[in-house]
Amino acid sequence: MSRAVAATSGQRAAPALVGLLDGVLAWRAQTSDEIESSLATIAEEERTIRRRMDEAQRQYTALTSLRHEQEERRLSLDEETIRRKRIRVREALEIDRALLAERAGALHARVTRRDLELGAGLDAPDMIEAVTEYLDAQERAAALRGGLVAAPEELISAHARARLEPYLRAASSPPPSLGLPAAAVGVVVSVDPPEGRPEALLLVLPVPWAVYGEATVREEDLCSLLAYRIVAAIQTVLADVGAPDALVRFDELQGNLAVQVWLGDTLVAPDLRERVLECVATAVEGARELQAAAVEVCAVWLTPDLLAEASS
Amino acid sequence: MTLDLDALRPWSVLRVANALDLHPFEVIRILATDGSLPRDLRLRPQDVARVVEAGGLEAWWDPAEASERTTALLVRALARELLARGVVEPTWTRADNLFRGLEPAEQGVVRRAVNAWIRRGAMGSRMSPRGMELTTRASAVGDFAALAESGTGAYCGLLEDG
Repeated sequence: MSRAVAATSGQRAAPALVGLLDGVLAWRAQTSDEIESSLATIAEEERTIRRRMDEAQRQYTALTSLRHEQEERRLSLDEETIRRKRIRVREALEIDRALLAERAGALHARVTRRDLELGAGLDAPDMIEAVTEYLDAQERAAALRGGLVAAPEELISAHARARLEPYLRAASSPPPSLGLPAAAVGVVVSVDPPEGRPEALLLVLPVPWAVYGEATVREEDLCSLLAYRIVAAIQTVLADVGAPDALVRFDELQGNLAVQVWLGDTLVAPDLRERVLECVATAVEGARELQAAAVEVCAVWLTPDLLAEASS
Repeated sequence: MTLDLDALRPWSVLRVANALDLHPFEVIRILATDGSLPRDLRLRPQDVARVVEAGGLEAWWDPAEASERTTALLVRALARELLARGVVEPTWTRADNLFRGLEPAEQGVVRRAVNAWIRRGAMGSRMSPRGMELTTRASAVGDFAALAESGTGAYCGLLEDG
């Protein structure tokens, strides 16, 4: 350090130079303190800003990741919508199938009870002759396998027919109403491709596959009759659109009975969908068993992609 | 002896189907295509007649004669029926017509004979909306006639049991 020093010892007045140089030294010390203080402040502010930048960077990275995530969700929204719809379609068919099965059981029980009431007297002694004649005729009618056409009513005497007439009338009466609130079930209709010339028609019925798969051994019930009506509607449509010989296949789709029709070999008008919806509505309109069970059947149009197996 | 009300109803589709050896849906298909399906889905004699006629159903065999039909007689009778009914190309018949009215064991005999004839090119088969259909090839008519009339010809080996 440079410092002014007196040339002689003892108490003597210092020349001006010494004082002036001391002043410079004092200034330097003060300025140095100021610089150090300022640098410390700047360093602190730099650290603060760095912390903020680091935080902003983290936020930016997080936002970028979130944006990618949302963009991916946006891209898969259609696919996810279809997946969820497929699941809902399956659930809806299960709900409808359960409802139909429940009402089928109830209707069967109700008809059996009603038959017992209306049929009382058939086993009375004075009916034995007519009943015997009818049962014999029934047995002969069973020769249907060989002769193909016969009917007990046609094979019994006029007298026996007259005795049985009230019972024959009762037997032909509509099934009794269950008195339940009306419930609707859906028959799913789909045409592939959804637009343009149809190549395939698919219907899914809310009835168990067994209605077809075990048809010859399963007791005919409300589900069977609904399936019959829908199958008849399909045949009517096929005849109407000039494809009476189209190949019809019955398959199981998630436990339900599905009817597939291949139309690729026939030039079918694009209004097939409307024709099917119309014929299904006509087929179930006024059906006595459905009225008795308070079941309304609605054809529901869906695009074919919704009928693919639900992934979960 | 009892009779319940259900027995007095017009026939159900299932009952007719079982009686005719058809699937119930086939009964529906035939009547719906024919435009004669009753609204109540209960079939009267005239409806059954329509099923038979519109569906091209035929009864080739009398169930009452089951015990009299040996394998040889059955195969010869089958060849005779095919020719007598004119089931020679281009005429086809429902495959189930060949089996209707036969006992299960007899159906097995007919199935084996038909399969053998198809393998040898004496019969043709095709799928149609009515299910499988069969025809006799024109080239095989002579052999079928020999088999039917005298149990001889190219297919007499089919007359043996098993």
